[in-house]
Amino acid sequence: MLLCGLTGDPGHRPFFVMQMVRKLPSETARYAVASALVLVAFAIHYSFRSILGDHLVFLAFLPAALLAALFGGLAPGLMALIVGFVLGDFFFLPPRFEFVPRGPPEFASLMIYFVTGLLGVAIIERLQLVRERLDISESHKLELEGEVRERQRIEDALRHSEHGLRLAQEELEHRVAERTASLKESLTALQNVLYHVAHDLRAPIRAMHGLTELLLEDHSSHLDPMANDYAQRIQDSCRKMDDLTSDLLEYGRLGYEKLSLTSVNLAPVIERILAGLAGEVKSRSAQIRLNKPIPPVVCDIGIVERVMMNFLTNALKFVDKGGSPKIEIWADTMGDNVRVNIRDQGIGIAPEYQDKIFGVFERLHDDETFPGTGIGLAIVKRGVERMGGRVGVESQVGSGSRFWFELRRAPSL
Amino acid sequence: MRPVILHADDDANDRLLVQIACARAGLSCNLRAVADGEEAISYVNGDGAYGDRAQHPFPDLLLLDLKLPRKSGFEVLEWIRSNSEMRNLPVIILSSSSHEKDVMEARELGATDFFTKPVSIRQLQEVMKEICHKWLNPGVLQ
Repeated sequence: MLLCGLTGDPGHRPFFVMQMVRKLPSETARYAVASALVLVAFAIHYSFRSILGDHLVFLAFLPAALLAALFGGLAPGLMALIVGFVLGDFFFLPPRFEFVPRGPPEFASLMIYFVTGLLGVAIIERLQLVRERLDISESHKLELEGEVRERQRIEDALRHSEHGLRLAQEELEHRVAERTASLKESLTALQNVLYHVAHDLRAPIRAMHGLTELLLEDHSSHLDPMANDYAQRIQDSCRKMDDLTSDLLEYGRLGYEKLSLTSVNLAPVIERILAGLAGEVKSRSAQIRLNKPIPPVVCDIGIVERVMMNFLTNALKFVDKGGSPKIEIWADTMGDNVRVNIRDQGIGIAPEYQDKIFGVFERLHDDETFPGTGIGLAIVKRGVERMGGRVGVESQVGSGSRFWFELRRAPSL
Repeated sequence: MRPVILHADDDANDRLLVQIACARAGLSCNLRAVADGEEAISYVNGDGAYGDRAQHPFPDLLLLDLKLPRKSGFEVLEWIRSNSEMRNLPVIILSSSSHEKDVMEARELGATDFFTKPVSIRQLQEVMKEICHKWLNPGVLQ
């Protein structure tokens, strides 16, 4: 029943009267109500005394005490009981206006009233206590239920936003995949174009160059000097166009080509490049010194070869007319990196151009003084940066330049 | 008997330049030319008119461009290497491309050697000399 009372609907609860009748909130009101009830009981009995006779003196006082206990609690209930006792005994119980009862029947009536009232007040108080406890657990239950509902709501909201998030994430992933696919497509298209440029554009250049070469070598006696000069210019232009095409292709390819980064011992690589340049070194009577050791670095060997080749051909090329190049190569360890330096004693670069020279098609000289495509250092920069490194230059006009590139140091080979 | 070189290239100028380069290098070889991949296969397989080996002798060496109409150089190479009778035919790639991917693929398909077409005829002469000395019986060269 108790459990049923805790959980069932109010109509089936035990003590439902008690549920409806609550103790008055203020202490004064409780005592006032108790006193009023006793007075009402007094008035009722006084009015109906002739009908009720002398034996039912406490018929009105008993309910007054019980109601006082119900509305006021233990102390007002007891107060009403005692006041009713005193008033009933004094005013109505024979002999009237005296406290001592007349005989055993009156005494019994007095005792029955008092004991019944006491029991009633006690029971009501007990019931009140039980109800209060029930109230507390009820309010706890309500609080808990509220909390459960709140948690449920938060959980629902969380689930909802989680779902939304998942949807957004899926949408994002979808869009990234789409974008990646379209980028891949454009990259493939670009690679395709580059491949065709390599193949198709160079074929006519080759033909023009080869045939002009034949004109100059096998038929120059049939050409007047001006025609010979024109043919020479055509051949030079073809050579330049071929260099440009292949440099641009290389620059483009560096952007997407897969790298294979390994630990490389640079000294033999540099020595191999120097051996390849031996002809030019000799013809320019250049002096090149390679200061070992060069610590191993993490790099793509093909790219690092192109980088070194570019730096060295530049160092050989950019010297004063008639001067002979003096080049020094050495390495410094800078923390986790190795910096390879290539110092020349050439013409040098003015400060305002030192950043520009690593851009595509940046040239500081006319083609006749120093021929070139203007892409070499752009290839160097792109190549080194793709390997995770840096390039730079320090230079003074007239006293030479120090170009350097930095790559991650490899564990000793 | 002069060694027979079959040159498969769709660019008429390149065919002409190879011919001139061979002559200037003093290579005495019988140079035959085809302009696409299918014709190259027809020639080595002796299909149709190519069946007359007196007119169209079986080559001692195939000089193959990679980018060819109808059938690419790769396809020609693959066809030749899958044919047991032609397994020993030296196939030299002479291509515009020096792209590592192309070199690797050609090597994987069984190309004998790989050269990039140079821009100068003098360099082409050197390339042709190297090819002939490396891959043709030196006795058959003058």
